[in-house]
Amino acid sequence: MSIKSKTILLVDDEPAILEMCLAILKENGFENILTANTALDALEKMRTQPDLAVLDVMLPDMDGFTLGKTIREHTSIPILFLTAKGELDDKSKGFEAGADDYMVKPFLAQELVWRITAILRRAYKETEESSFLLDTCKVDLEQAQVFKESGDSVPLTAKEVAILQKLFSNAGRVVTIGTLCQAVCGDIYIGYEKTLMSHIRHIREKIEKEPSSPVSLVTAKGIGYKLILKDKAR
Amino acid sequence: MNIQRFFKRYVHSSVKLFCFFILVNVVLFVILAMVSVDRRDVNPTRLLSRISNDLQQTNGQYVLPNGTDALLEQEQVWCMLIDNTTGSVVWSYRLPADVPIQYTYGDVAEMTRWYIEDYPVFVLNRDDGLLVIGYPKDSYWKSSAYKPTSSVKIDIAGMATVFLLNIVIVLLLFVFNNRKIERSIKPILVGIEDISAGKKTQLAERGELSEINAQLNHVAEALQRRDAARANWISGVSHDIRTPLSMVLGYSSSLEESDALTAGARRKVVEIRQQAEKIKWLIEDLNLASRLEYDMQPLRICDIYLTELVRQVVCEFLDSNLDDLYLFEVESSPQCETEFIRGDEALLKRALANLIQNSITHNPEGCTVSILVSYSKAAITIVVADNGVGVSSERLKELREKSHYTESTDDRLDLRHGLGLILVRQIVEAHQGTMEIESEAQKGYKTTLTFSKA
Repeated sequence: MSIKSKTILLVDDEPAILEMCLAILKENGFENILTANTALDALEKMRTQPDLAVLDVMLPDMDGFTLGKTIREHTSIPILFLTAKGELDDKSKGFEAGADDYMVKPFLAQELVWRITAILRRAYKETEESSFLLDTCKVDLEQAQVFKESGDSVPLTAKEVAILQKLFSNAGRVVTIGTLCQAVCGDIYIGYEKTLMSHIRHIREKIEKEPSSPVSLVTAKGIGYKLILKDKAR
Repeated sequence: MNIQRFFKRYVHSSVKLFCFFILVNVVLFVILAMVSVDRRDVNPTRLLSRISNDLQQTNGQYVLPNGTDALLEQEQVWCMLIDNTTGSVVWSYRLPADVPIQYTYGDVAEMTRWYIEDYPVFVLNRDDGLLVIGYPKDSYWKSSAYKPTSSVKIDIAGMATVFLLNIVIVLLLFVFNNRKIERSIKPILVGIEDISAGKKTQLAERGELSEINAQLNHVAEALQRRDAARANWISGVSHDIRTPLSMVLGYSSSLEESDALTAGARRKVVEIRQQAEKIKWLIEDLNLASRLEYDMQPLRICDIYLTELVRQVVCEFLDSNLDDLYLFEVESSPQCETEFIRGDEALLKRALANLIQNSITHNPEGCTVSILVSYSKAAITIVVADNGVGVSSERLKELREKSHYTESTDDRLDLRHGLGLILVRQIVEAHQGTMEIESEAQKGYKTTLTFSKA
């Protein structure tokens, strides 16, 4: 089952927004989408066991955070809050209500698609896509192996897998040095940037044809790193 | 308003008033003394000596010249000459009937001090007798004052002491009163200061000035309500705009990806999307700025690694379909990596994003935005600089000095460029930091934010 075939429940009291999100997701290949106008309707649709819920915070019969908590009582599916309320104090409320992510209206179409994809990938990673294709090799995170075009395979260390995992779930986007470091070491400490750089160098030696001029694992100077998947290069 | 200065001025003016009071008293006494002085040409002493000069004995008879008797007439004065040896009146003029004509030594001794039959009299000792002049009854007050010399000395010293003591008491009373007023007025002044600074105010409604306090509380509350209403209104409007704007942004960005569009149509869609994003920024700025202005934005303070914060903000720009015309450089010294400040992450991100967005907006031809994080002993500094068109020195002055848009009543105020920067300043100030702008036409634009270390 691929990510695109996951069932997504969209809840918003504004029919126009529902219609737009539906259109955007369909255009981007998502096939199974449920929509609901009210919290009651949404709880009804929850019986079909969707894989992801996108909830508006302002609903006519219940506020979205309460709805989120109610959903959480029954299932652990990821929840993305979609709200017009830009006040930042809502953010913590959303995370308290068990949000996996939070999006403030207005948003861009790609942002919605990207966030939904990222959440689904994170939530259902064990069932799928633990391997991906790069420019000149295939990386299998489960086996911690890099399979080269020549047929050779190179093992990856645990830290390297963690770094690649983080980069892969954000493929095509820059991941900051701090985020990577926290993913690998758990915290920010003096000299972590140097440590990270040596890890990156080792990874490049394994996955790049020319480690000194990388094409798959590229640097955003001073900011972070970006993983570029084959065919998805932008 | 400076409270200390207010009371200093009050003390000064009070001291001046006190000095003025003393001066007025002195002047009044002098005037009184001058008025009460007997300035007539013919006072008793002068009259006596004149009569004595004029009174001549011719052929055993005393005669007054004509001019003199007219003067006596005019002054309503009677006079007589008492013989030294016999004690009888040897000459008299206009002598009232009730005045005796024979005197003993005792009579003479009494009259020199007091009265003869209630007529105030004055005497002059001559060779041939005692010249006496009498004025009408009740026209003169005579007294004979005497006191031991020691008492007089005490009196003088006592009067000086009492005078000085009076001044001291007045000053003490004045200081005491001033203190009292200061105590009751100070909270009011502080309250007014707070109100004008937009802070919350609640004065205790008791004491002498309780009515004023109550009024001030009332005003503060009304202002607070109005501010809250304004912020809520802005927040409501921005909320209502978000849904339609979502549609515009969502559909335009989705259309942008569509293969069905011609290149021309795509350009237009991109333009729509970019403009809609500008509206989004503006609304967010407006909402946040008004909430910060009216203290309605609670700060969520936590430890923030500024270097990482900068990276994350830049990342968001890199991921947002930004034109290739814009390049980013982030530099930070290795020591900065673990330096953190206490702050609100979302707000600080917004401040940085606004600075970067400013550089992008004002340089449609593209530019390089370089961000430098550095630190000294006490502070962490973030410099956001671009190599773009910059601003003229007049405009820079304007940006630095522009009053806050919520306080400004200047209709000409150009908000199109200012709101984002105002929000940055508000956020930085909410973190007790400082913001400095440097720029020159065609030489880029540079903003320096400085925060003190946690």
